[in-house]
Amino acid sequence: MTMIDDRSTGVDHADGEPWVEVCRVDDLVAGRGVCALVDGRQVAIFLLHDGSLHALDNRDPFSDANVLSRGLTGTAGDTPTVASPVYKQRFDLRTGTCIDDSSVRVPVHPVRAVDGIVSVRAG
Amino acid sequence: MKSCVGSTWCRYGVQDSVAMAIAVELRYRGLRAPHKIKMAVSGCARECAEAMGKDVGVIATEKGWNLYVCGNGGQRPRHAVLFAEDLDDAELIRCIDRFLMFYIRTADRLERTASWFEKLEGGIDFLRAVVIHDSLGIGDELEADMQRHVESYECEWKATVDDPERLKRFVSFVNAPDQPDPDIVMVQERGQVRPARADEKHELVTVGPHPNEEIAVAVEVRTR
Repeated sequence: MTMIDDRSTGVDHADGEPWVEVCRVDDLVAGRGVCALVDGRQVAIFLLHDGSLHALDNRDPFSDANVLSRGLTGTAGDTPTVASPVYKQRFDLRTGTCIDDSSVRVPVHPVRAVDGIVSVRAG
Repeated sequence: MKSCVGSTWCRYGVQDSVAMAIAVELRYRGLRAPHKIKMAVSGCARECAEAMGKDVGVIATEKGWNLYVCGNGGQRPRHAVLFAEDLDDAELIRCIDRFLMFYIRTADRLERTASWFEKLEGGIDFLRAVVIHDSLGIGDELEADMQRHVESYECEWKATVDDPERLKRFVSFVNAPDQPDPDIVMVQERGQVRPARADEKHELVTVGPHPNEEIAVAVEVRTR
């Protein structure tokens, strides 16, 4: 795996919670997700075909498995979604709210790409 | 693809259904279609492979093969329709090529052949006209489409294993590619490992590395 040089120092505390560099944009495949380990927390990161980045917890609350990064991305109306690969519930990539059961929500995290490097803030 | 044991192993078999099943499987594997496609080849009319419950069913005769299409099992069973009789090997393959490509081109997404057929205006006569008598003049095109599929097929699993770039997608963590998911713990069941259920996890103790290097730790249920 081609890695950014030193991810342990890839931390920027400038605006409160640290941005943690996790991979290069080139490591991502549009329409798919990857999982990053951020301070022990598993964060699913998605690059969509429109170039937008989304990040939410990797844990699927329905199956209790760390699999959301492996889900199929799609849309429900105009809402970008990821469907859990286990029982197929869809989650709004922008809010983490489950489309199929609005009482369920997974945490979302800020994610950005700067100079081709993807960073997340997962407090 | 399902097959009976055919003339090789069965006293009733009139054709080598296993060889035909393998040939058909190898030809259509990996085909992109509106929905899954199930097929079967039976070596005689006793129909041990249950080909009449499949999208494409082939049943051996004394003279060749009978082709059945658009069958379905499951929740809405439907017997496949007899499409053509006593075809030789080449005729059989040409019929299936054209039939499958016509289905792929005209069916809705997630529509199995059985429900596609029920909506098909003109029914079996129309389908025979298109596939056998080339009434729409697209026979060559359909065959060429299928030939392109056959020639471009690659085993996606093998291609992935052989390609370091594609293999990267299968690490647990993009920023820690050598680290397995620490939440995955295995228990032994019937001499095999399986992932622990949530209610089991609180009783688990680590017992050391598992012989399978992909699994970082093996655990067992603590005995009370």
